[in-house]
Amino acid sequence: MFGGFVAAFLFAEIISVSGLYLDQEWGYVFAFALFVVLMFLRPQGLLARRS
Amino acid sequence: MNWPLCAIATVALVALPFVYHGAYPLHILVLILIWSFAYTSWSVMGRFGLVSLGHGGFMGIGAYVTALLWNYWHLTPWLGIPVAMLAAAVMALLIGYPCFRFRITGHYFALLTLALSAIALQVITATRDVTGGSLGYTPERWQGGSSLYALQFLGKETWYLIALGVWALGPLILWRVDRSMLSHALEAIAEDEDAAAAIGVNVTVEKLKITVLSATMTGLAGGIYCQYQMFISPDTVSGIAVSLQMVFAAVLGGLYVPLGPTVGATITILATELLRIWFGTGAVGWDNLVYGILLVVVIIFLPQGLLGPLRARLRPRQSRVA
Repeated sequence: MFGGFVAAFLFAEIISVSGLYLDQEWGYVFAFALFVVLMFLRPQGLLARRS
Repeated sequence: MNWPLCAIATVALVALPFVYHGAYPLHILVLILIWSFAYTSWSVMGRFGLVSLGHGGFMGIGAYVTALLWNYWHLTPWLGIPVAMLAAAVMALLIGYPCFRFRITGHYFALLTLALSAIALQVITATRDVTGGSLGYTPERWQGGSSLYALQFLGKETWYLIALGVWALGPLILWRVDRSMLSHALEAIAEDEDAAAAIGVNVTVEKLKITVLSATMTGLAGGIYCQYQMFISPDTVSGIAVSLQMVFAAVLGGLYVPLGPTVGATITILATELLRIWFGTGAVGWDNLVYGILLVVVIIFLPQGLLGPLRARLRPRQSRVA
């Protein structure tokens, strides 16, 4: 549950901070791109431990 | 395959615009043919368990690359569409290779491709100075209206014949894939990846082949759609809604039947048009409600789609005749 909170916070920050400097849509692009990269690097999730 | 029946159907389909000139029904037929090809493109890989929700992205790339090359560099769509198909194929390689290399399958693959679809939609919207953003984009009209060089035609009859030719490629490609070693390899992979790898199947390469083929076909559908409609917007050619529309229609018609996506496209497009005509603006979004109900009913009662049971009934009869 804590992992979900961290991920939601991280995504919201990326979208909001990007919106400060660029168009809002770029924030979504960066957030989705981060999601794609994380799926490759840590498919088990950000805070999950390997079983 | 019943060749005499195919020949009669082909002659009837080709002859249709010469005996019937109704602009609106022909327009609907052209849309059905183009979307049928797009849905068939999805089912090329979907039937092997590779559930992609990123085909909206490939379609968007196909449509926008074609239009942008025409408007900015006056590159004829005869070259622009192949470039757009290549761009879709490169995108499929970029997302497909790491996915298959890191063995991302099932729900994870669907989620990743969904992200690709969302990225394509957002990039098109964000680059509004170039693509027109959410307001849409119009390829420049050729002076005089019709031109073979510009692949622009005012007559619906011409577009019907072009769309028919493109649509015919779909079942033909499915037929070729079904009779290739690729099909056997992908069936083995769909059953058990480890077992397939153990008997010598290069899992990554085989999956990449079908993904690139599917994306290239979708790029072609996007380019043709752009040339026909002469207007594209992020919501109509890319994004999650278009990706889901492909899945819905292919599943509805029958994923494992060559004409299944065509039946799915016919039902969904006709349902949208009929609801629009009957209810007007008083029932905006009802088509999605109908899709949803149809999909739930079909998945529960006809998991092989509308054409699945028909195919199962015909098979024993054909084998008895043989």
